[in-house]
Amino acid sequence: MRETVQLGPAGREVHQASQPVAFEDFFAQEGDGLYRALWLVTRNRFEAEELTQEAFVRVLERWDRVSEMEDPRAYLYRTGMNAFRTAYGRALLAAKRTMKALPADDAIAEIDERDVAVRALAPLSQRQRAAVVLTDMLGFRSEEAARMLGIRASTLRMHASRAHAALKEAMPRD
Amino acid sequence: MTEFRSVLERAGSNAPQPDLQVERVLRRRDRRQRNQRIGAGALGVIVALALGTILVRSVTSEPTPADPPVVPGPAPAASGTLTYVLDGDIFVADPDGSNAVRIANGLPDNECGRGRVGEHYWAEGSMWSPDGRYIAYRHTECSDPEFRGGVEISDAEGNVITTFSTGAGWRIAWSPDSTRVAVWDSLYDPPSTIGVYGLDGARQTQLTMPSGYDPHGDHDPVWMPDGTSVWMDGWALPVDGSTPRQLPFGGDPYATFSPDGSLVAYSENRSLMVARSDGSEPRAVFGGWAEYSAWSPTGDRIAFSDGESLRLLDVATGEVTRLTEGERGTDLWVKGFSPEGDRVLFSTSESDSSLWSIGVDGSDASRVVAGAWQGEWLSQTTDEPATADARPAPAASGTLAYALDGDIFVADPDGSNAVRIANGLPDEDCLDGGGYWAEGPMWSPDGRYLAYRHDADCSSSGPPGPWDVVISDAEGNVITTFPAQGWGVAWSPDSTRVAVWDRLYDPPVIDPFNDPPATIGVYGLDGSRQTQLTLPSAWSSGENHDDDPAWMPDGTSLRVHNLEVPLDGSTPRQLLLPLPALRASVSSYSPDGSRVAYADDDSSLVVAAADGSDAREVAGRTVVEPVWSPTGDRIAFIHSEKGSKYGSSNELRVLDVATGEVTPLVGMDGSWDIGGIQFSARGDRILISRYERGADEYGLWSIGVDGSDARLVVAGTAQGDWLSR
Repeated sequence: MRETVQLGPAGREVHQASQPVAFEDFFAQEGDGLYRALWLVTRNRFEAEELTQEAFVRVLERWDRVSEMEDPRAYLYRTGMNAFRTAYGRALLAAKRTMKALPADDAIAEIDERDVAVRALAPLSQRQRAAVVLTDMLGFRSEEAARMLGIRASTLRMHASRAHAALKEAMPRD
Repeated sequence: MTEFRSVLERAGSNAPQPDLQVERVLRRRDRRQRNQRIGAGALGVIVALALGTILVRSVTSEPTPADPPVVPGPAPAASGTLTYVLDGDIFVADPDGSNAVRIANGLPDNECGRGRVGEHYWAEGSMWSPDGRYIAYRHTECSDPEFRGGVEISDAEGNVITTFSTGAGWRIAWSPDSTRVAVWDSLYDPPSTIGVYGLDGARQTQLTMPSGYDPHGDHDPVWMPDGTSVWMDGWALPVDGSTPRQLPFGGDPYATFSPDGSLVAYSENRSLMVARSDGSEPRAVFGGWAEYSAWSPTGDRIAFSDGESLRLLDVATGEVTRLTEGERGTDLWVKGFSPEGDRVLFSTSESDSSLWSIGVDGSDASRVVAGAWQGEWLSQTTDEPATADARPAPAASGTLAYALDGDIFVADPDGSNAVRIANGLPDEDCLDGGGYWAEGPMWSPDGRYLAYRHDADCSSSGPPGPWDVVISDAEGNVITTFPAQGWGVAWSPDSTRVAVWDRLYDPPVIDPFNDPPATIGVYGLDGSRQTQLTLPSAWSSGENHDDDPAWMPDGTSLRVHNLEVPLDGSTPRQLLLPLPALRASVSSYSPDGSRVAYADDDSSLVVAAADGSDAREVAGRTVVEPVWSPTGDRIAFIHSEKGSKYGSSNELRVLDVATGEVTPLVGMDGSWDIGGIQFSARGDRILISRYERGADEYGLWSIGVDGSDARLVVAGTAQGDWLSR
């Protein structure tokens, strides 16, 4: 079974599942990208891995319908961001902290140290990071990204705007 | 757009290599489906068992005896109650001096210092706390060649609440909220410092007079009406440590503020002046010498002495009435008004000084206490009856508070009779109106208050906020709210303050050498910041995890990871405990504060003296999160197969500290995560949070310390707190 690929709004590849693809292929195709997006948002590889797996489990549970969708990738990211939103909701985060179930990612400090781009993202709130990752990096429209994060589009634009200002300030000028 | 995209792509390319396997996704899906099937079957069994249990209990069970009520603070004395000093003793009496009761028994002045062993009690200025619960006075150690002494705070029956040493000053200044006093710590040895002490005797902060300050007279600090600053010789010193500011009415050390705090009366150029409390709009209201002025409870009159006569000023009209005058050469001192404002208490410097009272129309002068010079009527300025406790009543011991789906609830210890006291939105619905949540203990130690958080606009997810701190009573009446960072809210041992992160990641740690230092705010129950503590610039939150500040048991300092940060602003100290014990979240002090229990590097349970000395292993490896019982005789902990809670089975165990015997609590063992251990007030039951991985469900459970009677208390949350301290 073959899938076709087309460019999304920001020049990103968007899967056009003209014919259903196998879940394993979809996982191989999209797993790494979703993980990196979630890593940028959470700054914790363990959390990003966990959320990525959780998103794929939820997609798998509905794969018969998702595989027929026009853009299963968008559904995957929406599921991933929904998992992030749930996992980083205040109450659940507090519960996780009570259980000491948030493994620390010591690697982030080392990466912060060597990479100015990663360091530049650090001051942003998670929702600001999610806003720019979804819109700037992954090319989703603000309305679409807002739905993924469960916030209003105007709120998302505000987050993105503040994130842009902070990034401009943090990034060295060439 | 392209610029940001390239930044993000570059950043994303640095992500550590993930361990993603489609096989794990498939297994996880299969396990979830299996659990769903098992859960559906188990639900039927649980419902049947629960119905059966209810039926049996309703027929056979004895009523559970109520937990003893929490002992409240001292009741306020009746309005008008007189306290006075006489011959080295402190007395409390009816307003007319009758029915006097000696509450502190000391040596008279003429016997103190003559080789007698004992204490001499004395006071100047106000003794009553504004709420009428406490009396502050001083003691001098008669056998000490330097007559050193200190401050004592007692209730109206003479039960000493606290005592602390200070060799300087005379008057004791009560804060407007009756939770603190300010006194000189050091006066004549520069720099001059003022200490602010809590009701537990701990110095909360130390204020330093500006450099160059030269004390010109024996004057004492006074609180500004809003309680945020202490006023001394024309300087207002903010108790949060920010820069002192100069006030225009610096000339009169005995300036007094009106009951509502809006006006100040002071002497200047041999005139009595009244101005706004910031010194603006000054006006002369009496052209003559005026001292020891006192405002009437309603703020419409000022009584003052011009030396030999007692006068009364009508603030609105400026009319001055002479009430009485002493004999030639006799000075009169105004001590204050009666609560009704119809009489004035004053003292005379006759050969045998006495306390007198007189009607505001000059009638009915009568001696109240012969021989006493210092005395004060309790003259509360609120309209509340003196017998009413302005603070909320403490909840019953054992009362459960918990957070669930964006709401806060208060319930009976077993989760029954739950009442929602804060109504918010659950995480998933949090758009523009936020939810309530909590982390760690919610109850104040005295059981009068609850502290929790509120995400006002849901606009930022993930740590560290800021989110509002909400302090309410047990019925949900909000006492105060203010924004702060961090997660939990740490109650001081005396329940008068909370500590939270003021600045932790603002901005987050990017450059440890240039970031602003992290700060902790200590806030009173009125929401004002009493102190802000700055961590050393080298301290990096990024390196030190994300623990909230925790109070040291004596309430004089806060603990943040490896630092002990004194509240008086002195230099933070590095704790000498080994690294695992430094995580406030995984170590626990004994109820008396003398010992600490922690899991060491090998996950062995260790008990040591509070400073880390005398450490001894009391249980073998694979221990995490030890917690002392309130009775001090047990330590509960989680036994985990690998000494780590991830991917291993966990078991709740209890150590008998005296015998070293460890008891596994059957029913709390299995492949789930457990945490948030706390004991009931009597130490006979344990509340824990439990997360069942397969079912992805949180719950609060309780179990007897002998392992009996495990039961689900509240489903769907891991955030609960028994009032058990």
